[in-house]
Amino acid sequence: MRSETTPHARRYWAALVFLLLGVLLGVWHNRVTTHGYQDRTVSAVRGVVAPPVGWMESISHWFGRQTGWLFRGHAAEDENRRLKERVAQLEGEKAALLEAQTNYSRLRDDLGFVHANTPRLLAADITARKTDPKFDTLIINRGSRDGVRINSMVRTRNGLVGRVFELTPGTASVLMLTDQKSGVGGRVQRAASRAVGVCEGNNSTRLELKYLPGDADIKPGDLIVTSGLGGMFPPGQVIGTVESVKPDENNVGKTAQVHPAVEFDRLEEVYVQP
Amino acid sequence: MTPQTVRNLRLAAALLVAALVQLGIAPSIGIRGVRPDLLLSTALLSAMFSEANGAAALGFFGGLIHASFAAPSAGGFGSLIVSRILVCFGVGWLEERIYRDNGLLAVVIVGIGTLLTEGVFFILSPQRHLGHWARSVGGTAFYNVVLAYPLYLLLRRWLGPLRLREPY
Repeated sequence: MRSETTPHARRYWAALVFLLLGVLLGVWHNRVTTHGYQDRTVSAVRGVVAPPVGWMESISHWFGRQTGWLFRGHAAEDENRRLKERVAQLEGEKAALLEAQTNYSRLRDDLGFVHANTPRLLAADITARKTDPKFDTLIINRGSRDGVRINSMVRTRNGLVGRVFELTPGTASVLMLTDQKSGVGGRVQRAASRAVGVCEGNNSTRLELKYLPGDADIKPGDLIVTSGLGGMFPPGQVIGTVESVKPDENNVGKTAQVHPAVEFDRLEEVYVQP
Repeated sequence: MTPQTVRNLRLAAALLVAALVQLGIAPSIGIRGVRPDLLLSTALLSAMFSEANGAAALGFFGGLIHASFAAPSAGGFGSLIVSRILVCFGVGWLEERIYRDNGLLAVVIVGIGTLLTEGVFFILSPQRHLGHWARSVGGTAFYNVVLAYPLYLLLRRWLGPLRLREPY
C-alpha cells in the first residue's frame, strides 16, 4: 500500500503545496481582516493588477459612451424628456426646501442646538465592479492612505451605494446595498409615516425593506432614506423608492420592494465619506 | 529556454490577460444580469494544456487574483482559491490520462468545471440566498460555455497543440 501511495504523493507534491498555501492564505486573510488590518497579499496583488484594470475600465466606459446610443437611442430620448420634466418639478421643490431650511436653522439657533459640521467627501473612481458575478462589490481607487476606513460610507449624488469592507493603501472594496450580505436601517421619509425597517440586498436590481410593522404606513412612491439606527450610516441618506408592498412571510409585518436611487450597473465615480 | 518554459510563460500571460479582461470589461458585457467568468474559464482551459501540478498552480494564481478583487465581505477568500485549485488540478490530472485535442471537450470541461468550482466554493463558504446563488452560477456557467470554444481556439493558437509530449 505504502509503495503505491508514496509515488503519487511525490508526484503531486507541488499541487499539495499550492493547496496548503491556498488554505493558509484564506485563514490568514480572515484573521487579519477580522481584526481590521490590511492583508498584504491582497495589497500586493491589487498593486500589480489594479492599474491596468483601471485603464481597461476607463476604455470600456469610453467605448460604452461612444456606442451607447446605438443600443439606447429611443430609450435615451424618452429618459431625457422625463428627466427634464423631473428637473422642472425639483426646482420648485428645491425653492420650498431652501425656505424650510432657513426656518429650521433659525429655530435651531433659537433653541441652542449645536450645528454639525458638513462631512468631507472624497471623490473616487471605480477600478472594477462586480468582479465576481455572485457578489455585488466594487473596487475604488482610494484606500487607507487617503483616509478611507472600514465601514466608510460610499455614495453618489443620487443616493447611497454601500460601505467599505476591505482596505489596501491604494484601494478599497465596497459592499453594495444590493449584495446579499448588505443590510441597512431604512425609514420612510414621509412625515406622516416615518416607518422603520431593514433594507436588505439579494443580488438583484431591487432591495427589500423588511421587518416593517403590520400597521406601517407605507405605499408605492414613498422615498426610503437611512434611519441612522445601528450607527453605520448617518440618517437621511437616500436609498430608493418603494415599488410595491406586501405582507411578510408570516403575515405579521410588511415587506416593501425598493427601487434603488443609484443605478449600480452604470456607476462610474462615487464619493467616500472617510 | 525549453519549450515547456515558453509554454508556462505563455500560460501565465494568458491568465493575466484573462484577469484584466474579467476585471475591466466582463461586468460591461453582462446580459440580463448574467456575466461570464473569463478568469475561471481561462484557468480551466489552460489546465487542459498543463499537467496536474501546473494546473494546480494555474488554479492557485487564478483564484488568488479573483479573491483579491472579489472576495465577499465575510470569509470566502480561501474558499475561492481552494475551489479553483481543486478543479483545475482535476482537469490537469485528467489531461494526463484521457484528454484528446478536442474543442467539444473544452466546452464540456468549462461547463462542468464552472459548476464544480462554484459547488466546491458553496460547500466551503455557504451563501445566504440559495436561489439567487444558483441562478447566478447557472447563468455564469451558461455564458462561460458560450465563450468556451472561441477561447479554446485562441488559447490553442497561443500555446500550440494540447500536448507537448508524444501521445500515449
